[in-house]
Amino acid sequence: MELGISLAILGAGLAVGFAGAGSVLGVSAAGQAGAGVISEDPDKFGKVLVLEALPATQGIYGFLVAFLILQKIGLFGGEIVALTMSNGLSLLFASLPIAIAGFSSGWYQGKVSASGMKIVATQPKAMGKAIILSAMVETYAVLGLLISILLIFGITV
Amino acid sequence: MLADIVKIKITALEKEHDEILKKIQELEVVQIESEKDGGEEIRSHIVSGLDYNIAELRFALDFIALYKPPQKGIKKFLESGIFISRKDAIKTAESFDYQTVVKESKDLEEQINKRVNLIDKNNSEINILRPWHSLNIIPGKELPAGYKISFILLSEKSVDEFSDNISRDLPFSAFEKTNIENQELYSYVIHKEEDEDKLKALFETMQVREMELPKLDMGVSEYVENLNNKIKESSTELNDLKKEAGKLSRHERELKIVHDFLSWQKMRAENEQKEGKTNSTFTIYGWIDKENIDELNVSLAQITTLYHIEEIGANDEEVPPVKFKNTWSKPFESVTSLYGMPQPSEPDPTPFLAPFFTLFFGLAITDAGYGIVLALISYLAVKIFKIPKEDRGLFGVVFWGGIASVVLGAVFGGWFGVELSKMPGFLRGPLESMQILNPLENPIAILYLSLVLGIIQVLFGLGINTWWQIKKGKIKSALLGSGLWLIGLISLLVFAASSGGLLPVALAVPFKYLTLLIAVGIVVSKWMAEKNKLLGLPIGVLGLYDVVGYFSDVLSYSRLLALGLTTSIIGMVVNIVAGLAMEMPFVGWLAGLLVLIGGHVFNIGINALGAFIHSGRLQYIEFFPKFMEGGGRAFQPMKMESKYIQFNEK
Repeated sequence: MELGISLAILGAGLAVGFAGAGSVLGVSAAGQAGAGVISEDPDKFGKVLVLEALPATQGIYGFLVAFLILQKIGLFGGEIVALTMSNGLSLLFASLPIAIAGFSSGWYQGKVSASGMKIVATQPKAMGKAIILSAMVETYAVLGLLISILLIFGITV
Repeated sequence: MLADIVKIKITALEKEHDEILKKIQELEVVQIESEKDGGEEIRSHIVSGLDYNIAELRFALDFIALYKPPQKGIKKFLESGIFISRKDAIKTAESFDYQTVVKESKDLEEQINKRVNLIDKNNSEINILRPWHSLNIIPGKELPAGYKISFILLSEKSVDEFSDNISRDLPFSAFEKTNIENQELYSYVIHKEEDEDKLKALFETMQVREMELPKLDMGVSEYVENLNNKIKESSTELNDLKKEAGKLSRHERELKIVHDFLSWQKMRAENEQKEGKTNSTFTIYGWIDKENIDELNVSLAQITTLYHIEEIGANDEEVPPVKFKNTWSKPFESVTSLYGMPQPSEPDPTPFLAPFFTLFFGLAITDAGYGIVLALISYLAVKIFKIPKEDRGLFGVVFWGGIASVVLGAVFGGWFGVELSKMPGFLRGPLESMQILNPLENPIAILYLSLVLGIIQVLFGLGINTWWQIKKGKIKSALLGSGLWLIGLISLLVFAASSGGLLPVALAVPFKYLTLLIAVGIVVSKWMAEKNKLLGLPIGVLGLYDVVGYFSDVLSYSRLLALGLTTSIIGMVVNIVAGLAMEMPFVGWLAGLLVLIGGHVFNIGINALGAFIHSGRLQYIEFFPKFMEGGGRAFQPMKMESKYIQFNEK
């Protein structure tokens, strides 16, 4: 296998790994705070779950980019594309926006979600506002995803 | 649209007070305000009394829910409110003797707790006595004078040594073994009273533990059996009591009705504290939608002729509450209220955001298959669960969002993430003929589309601001503020488009100068608005920096492309993984089916949530600030607010 292919696989791994790690940190932080709310009032499980699920999207974005890279180099059935080293490097670099933005925004969105749990506990009617506060952090993962996708589409192999 | 909320003063005779207040509550049109400004309101004893009764009902309902026979299958799922007319609800509540049921629940709970405690107590006694079951004497039985007994527990290994010690040091003692469990010997020593100290010392050196046994009047095994019988007896009784408790669920409906009935009373009692009273009259101050005054008049006239409703102007410090009054865009009020209410002096953004929100929701899904599912689910949910009218907003929004997804999905060729070229022949033709663009092949086109939609919404927001200020008579600030920006930005766009070749090149030069002219205008108008003219010029120039804000607002709309792509690509991934699963021998079709259903349900769920949140965010952060600040308080009329009841009349 060519080095180019290996580099592209590294890119896919970074995208899904880092963005996923960001979601792991975020979802777990929100989940821990949410468990406290549920211990007081189990009926709020639905609301807590939505707030906890918000930082989970970064992991999905990373997965998406990894999938696109693997598909681009033909690892899903079909023939593996002959990738030059610079092509492989390009795909690796293209994964970085979502890897970095996904990691940090997943992590910190989780913190905002965790604080939002307090809103769910004391002012359940204002939960929508907690969601919006948390979604503000996600913007930058969406932008990272957007650039990663556009780059992968744009790289000709 | 916002309703025209005015302040009124209702004066009537005290003797008709209760009936009038009930009527006002039934109409649900007046938000009663306190006549005294500020100050702590004293909780009347009536309110506390009702609170107590409601708490008792809550207890009874919780208790019944604990022992209620479980509902099966779909019935449990569909269990929603109680549908009843106002008249019947009041009649039921007034005639139902809920106190008896509350008392019965309390008694039953006490009885149940008694049995549970008894069983616990007996069980723990059995646990202590169980290892002694083969004891051949009765613990607590009188011994010959001068003798005592010690029940002991010692390690199996040291039994012989202990036995030797006893027979050597305490010749007048007897060491009896009973039972070995977990390598420990349960046994006892009968000894002379004067040997007690010696024995204790021996216990200590040999690490023997002394045990306390209860005093019994029969053998241990017989006693344990008695306890077991008692437990059995209590368990039977407990089961009967639980069944009895379960039977109380026949009153559940009535209890719930009484619960709501008392809540209405409490609400009236709380509002009554806000009234002004004289010996024979009372006065209510409150907010009302101007349209509803006639209705109020007609209703009160049925009770008495001796009343007076007067519209009074609110004083300057008072800000009226805000009530939505939309027709076609009513479901989207739920989107606006998620952000908060507009101020009474601001335009209601609901009808303006409705088309944008729907379009953005559709773009963030961009799959006709998913759109059909979403529209169908939200439609059926309202029908099946009989969602009350005021809670339907969200479902309406998702319904229209689903419809938008169907249209946009068809245009962009998204059908459950299946590539059109792989569709079966009879579907392929019609579906391909509907497709205009493939986002996966040409994402840049969708990016431009998203940005253009952003430009339109931002300019639209500025337009609303200009129109609203003109309507309010602030023509100067309208034209010099948002109006100037609106024209300036459009002129800048025309200049950019014509320089880029999208519009005739001839437009470039005139619009370049127009843009510059307006830029100067913006600087000058800001400069003139400043009191300090020296500082005003740099402030005016800095004002041009706002253009960066508009630019970043528009860029924010690029998320629509990302969200739409996410949906379609994850849909494709699900299909590919399902395809792989199908290749499994024998169970492949089942695994494939599970992946297909689970995967697509997950994708719809996560992306519908994302579509809603991000479309909402574009309204709140990019659109609203162009023309409103928000922070109004919602109109909350005194209502027959119910936890369980849904009135089935109009």
